[in-house]
Amino acid sequence: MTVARLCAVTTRTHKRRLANRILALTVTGLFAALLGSASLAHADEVPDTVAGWFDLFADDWSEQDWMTRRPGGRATYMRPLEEEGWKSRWRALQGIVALGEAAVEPLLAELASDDVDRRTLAAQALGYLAPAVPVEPLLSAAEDEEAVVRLYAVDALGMRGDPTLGDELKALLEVETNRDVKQHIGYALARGEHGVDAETVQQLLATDASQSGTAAVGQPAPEFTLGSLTGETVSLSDFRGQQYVVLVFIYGDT
Amino acid sequence: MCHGQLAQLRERLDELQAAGAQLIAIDPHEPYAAQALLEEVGFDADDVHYPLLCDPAHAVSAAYGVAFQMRIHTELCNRPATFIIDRDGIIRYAKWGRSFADRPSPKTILEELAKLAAAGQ
Repeated sequence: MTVARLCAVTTRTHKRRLANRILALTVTGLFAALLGSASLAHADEVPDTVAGWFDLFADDWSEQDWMTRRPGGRATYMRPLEEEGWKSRWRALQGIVALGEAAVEPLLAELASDDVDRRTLAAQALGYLAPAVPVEPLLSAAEDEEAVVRLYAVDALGMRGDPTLGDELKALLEVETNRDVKQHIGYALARGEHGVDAETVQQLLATDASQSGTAAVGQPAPEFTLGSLTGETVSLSDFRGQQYVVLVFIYGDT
Repeated sequence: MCHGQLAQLRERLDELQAAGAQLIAIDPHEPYAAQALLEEVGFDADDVHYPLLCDPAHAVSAAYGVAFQMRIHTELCNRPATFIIDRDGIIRYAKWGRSFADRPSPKTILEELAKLAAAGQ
């Protein structure tokens, strides 16, 4: 499929997705009720403010020293999903995004935090709310001293679906030194007018963090339905009783 | 290059099909990014010949214990992983890679499929 054809397919579904997105953000209370999980430290807590979610995140995130260190003291920064603090971060991201537009202002305030983890989470959450986020604070965050914050900020700029940001994004590309951030500026430029998909927001909200990492040999494979690059919708159960499935997860970047 | 494994498997699609298997790949990016990455490594989406599914919210990769956050690459990403699921929807083989090169070869996958068939699963 050519890029032009891909764009045609995505444009057709864009209006419907916008409508879905509004629906997704309206039923926030329902999603918030579904986010509970028995295995987490704050499983029974469902804050109704951004500040509440950040408090929960900061508490669980700091419970464990998650960075494994290589000989010589270099951090590897790898945090696997089976680790509880990570699940708490995931829940916080879901909870904040489920608050919808009301979350935008407090998230913008978090972008000024001294704590890189708070700025990172704020920039990531703003991406899912991108159409309601003003450009200027995201452009400032795209010049953050930490690459991880810049990366989520340029993602959020792209997720606004505003093709008039092309010049700003190209200017950021000129001065960016981090390979990954450069790549994500490229994605932001490539998506043009296509803002964050409602389906992506819905998938984020509908995922149960307590169920992460539950796949095991001899157990039923977790069911899924996803869209393909060529526009089809594929479910694992499509192959039930028909064929074996060889499921390969790719990192996709390098 | 993680797409290297997919290129290898694409060349063995006939054998996978003969073994009664459907290949599915899951990429943790939105379609725009997945498309850009494919082009970067010289893949044409029309020429992939198996479903390349997009999981940008990492919902599926989380369920399969594949997602992780790695701040060296500054983003949430997938560890390479391969699963074989039988016709009843049961996971019969799982390989969670410990590094980006830690993946089963097509030969290993075909052998695992042959074992399943021999066991009547």
